[in-house]
Amino acid sequence: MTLERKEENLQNILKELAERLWGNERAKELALILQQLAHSVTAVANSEIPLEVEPAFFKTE
Amino acid sequence: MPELYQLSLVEMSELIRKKKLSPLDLVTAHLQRIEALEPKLKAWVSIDREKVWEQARQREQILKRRKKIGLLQGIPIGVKDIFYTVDLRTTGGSKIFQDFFPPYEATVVTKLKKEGAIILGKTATTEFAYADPAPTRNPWNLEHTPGGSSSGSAAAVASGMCPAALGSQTGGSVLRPAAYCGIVGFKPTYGRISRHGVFALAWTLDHVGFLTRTVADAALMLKVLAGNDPNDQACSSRPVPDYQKFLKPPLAAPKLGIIREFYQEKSEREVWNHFEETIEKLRRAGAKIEDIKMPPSLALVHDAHRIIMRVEAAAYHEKIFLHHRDKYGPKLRELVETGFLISGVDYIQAQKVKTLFRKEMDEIMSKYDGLLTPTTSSAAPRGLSSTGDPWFQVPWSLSGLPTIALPTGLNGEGLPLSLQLVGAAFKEEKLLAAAHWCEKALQVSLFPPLS
Repeated sequence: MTLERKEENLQNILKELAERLWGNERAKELALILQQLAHSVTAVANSEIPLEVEPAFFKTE
Repeated sequence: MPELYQLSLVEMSELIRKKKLSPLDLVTAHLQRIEALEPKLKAWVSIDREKVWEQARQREQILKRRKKIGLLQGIPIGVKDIFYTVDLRTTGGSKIFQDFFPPYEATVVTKLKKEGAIILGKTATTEFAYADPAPTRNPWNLEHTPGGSSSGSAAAVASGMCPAALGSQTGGSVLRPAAYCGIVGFKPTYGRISRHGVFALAWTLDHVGFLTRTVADAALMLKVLAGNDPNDQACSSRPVPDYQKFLKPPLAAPKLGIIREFYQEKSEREVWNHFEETIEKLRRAGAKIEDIKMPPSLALVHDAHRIIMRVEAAAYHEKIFLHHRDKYGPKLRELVETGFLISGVDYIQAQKVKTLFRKEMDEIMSKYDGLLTPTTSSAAPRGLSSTGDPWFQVPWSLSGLPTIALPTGLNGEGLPLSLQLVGAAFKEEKLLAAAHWCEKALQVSLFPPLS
């Protein structure tokens, strides 16, 4: 089974589980939120931020 | 002659200083206003009238006895219900904290009191300053959201229930409600005002801000609230300028940049047309205005913000969430639960985007007094199930740059529209001066037609 096929299977299982747990509408909303989040994580991970940039956290100056 | 509740903070302060206005009369006017409008607007969570009178009497006595008085002597101020107050419960808009009396008060509440302000009460907030709405309604149209999370503060200031109120912003929670309610909203540079004693949402994005009806009032509030606090590790020790001094005439016409990228495409046509008209008015009044090119990291700003806010909210709420999951609203629950799914590496990458965007913006900001965008993509949306879209403020909550929202007029439905100005880090005096100049050039001051 290819990776894409595995991912599709997993998504179907999660969708069914979400529908059972929260009902159809909420499951749809959550699916959208998770999709957006996955997109954000991928976009940031794939970005070309220079290696020397450090996370600032609480730094203000 | 305007009603007492219509005066600006600066006007109230001057009249009190000259002993032409009594704190007791001012409090009476505002409590009457609250009594008349609160059933409709639902802007307040707690008001202890006895304590308000007690403070007013005490401020009145100080006025009689002392020559030197506080900058906000005898003026009633609203406090968003995520700021700790020892004598008024602090619910954070949450079912879990309905009877919570914090053991200490927020640094900013102490600062307000030191300058003689009267704490009028606690204003309604979305749950833990996120997105599950408060019951507050928009004073311009009760069927529309006032925005959030500083919903009660914005509705209260816009309707004349108080001249200024504390708010906070992690995404768009000060400027968006200010825009929807037709008033001034101010968010300083990250680190300029202490967040000690405030319920956190996401530590590296949280800002304390405030809502007023004029730019001069915002300068006065910032003068009172800015400054170092050893209890907040993000708080800067830079000296605090006298912000009011920078608003005195003659004011030079500012150099302003327009951000079209992303903002034009995301704005409703009516909003963008109004924005262009506003720019034209400023240009005719003498402002030097040009388009600017944004850095490539703008494309990642919303993704990085989404990741950071989720992870930090999940970390903050983890323990409480384990025991009280069912008491969380659906939006906050989703925020926390999805925050648990993000890896540490992805969180750090998002923090790197934050650093990079700020660095690139610092370079651009060194050439301008302010950058211009519409504050929101639309006027206040109909309905109370959502507090609207924070996307236009998110880049500035992420970068930590200071921003101010100014009312610029009404749309076809009679709802306020607003201009967002972005300033350079720790140059609030420059941003306030530019905003004050724009305010004078536009001559727009809004007050909702409430009966």
